[in-house]
Amino acid sequence: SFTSEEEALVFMRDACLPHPWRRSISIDDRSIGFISVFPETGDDSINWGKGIATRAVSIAVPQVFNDLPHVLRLQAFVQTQNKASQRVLEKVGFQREGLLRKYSYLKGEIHDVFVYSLLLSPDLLPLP
Amino acid sequence: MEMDSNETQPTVVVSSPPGRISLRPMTLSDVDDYMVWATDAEVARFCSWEPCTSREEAIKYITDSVLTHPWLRAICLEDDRPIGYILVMPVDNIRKEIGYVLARKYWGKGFATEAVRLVTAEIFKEMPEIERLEALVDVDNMGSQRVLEKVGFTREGVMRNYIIMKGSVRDMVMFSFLPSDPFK
Repeated sequence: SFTSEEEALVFMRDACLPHPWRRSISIDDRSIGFISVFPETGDDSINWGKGIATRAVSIAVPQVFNDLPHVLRLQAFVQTQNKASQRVLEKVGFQREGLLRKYSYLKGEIHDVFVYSLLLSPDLLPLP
Repeated sequence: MEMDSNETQPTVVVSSPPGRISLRPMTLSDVDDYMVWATDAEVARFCSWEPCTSREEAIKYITDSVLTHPWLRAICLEDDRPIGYILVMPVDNIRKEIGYVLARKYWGKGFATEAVRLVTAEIFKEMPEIERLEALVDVDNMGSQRVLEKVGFTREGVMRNYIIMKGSVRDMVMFSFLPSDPFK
């Protein structure tokens, strides 16, 4: 978390603006959070705010597949205790593939995470 | 990604009961035994590499990729000749991934199972900072999945469209073994 506006501006300049796919979640054109998609594996794929996360994710998903034409799979890693986050993904149509034990190293702690995925085909695009 | 800087002489690990398989570093003089599995399309089927087509190619591959590998061991029978190899790759500071290949003639006899069991036990002793050893197996590679299940790895799930292998998108099964897990 940031303790000054200057720190936040540095983060935005160095991490957000050059990011391959990051969009501001806006209400009345003011940013209240962000949602990001990372290429490759490893990091948490989606951050969200309360109550509008499902909407943000469901808007983002087709945009991501459209903007990044080589992407076949979106994945998300969610800590086992984070039920709200799991519900968001499930509502959008992500499939839970399994529990990965001691998979995620975050802020000095090791966590079990559920891995979820949404595939361009057949999850987003129906099969012919 | 770091090699153990104290490891000057990789140990030979012998299995019990003694005489079944042993593990040791590969050398260039293993090239002919290496070619037995490396030229076999059946063996290469679920691997990222294409079958080897010449001795020169084999020597180059052993020199560039096998001898330089941070943790790779030949799987040998009593005559000390390799029938395959097993390796451990770093994923990050706390996670490693295991992989193995065996000549087809020796499939179905429990040799890979024994090698995986030995290496899994060894790795956690050598690297106590490791919290998770994982393996990713093609969803159609039943033999390899059985090896991991027999050792006591946990099958965590199928990751759909996880990887592109030789031009095809493949589903991969994720397995893991934690330091606290029991061997079967």
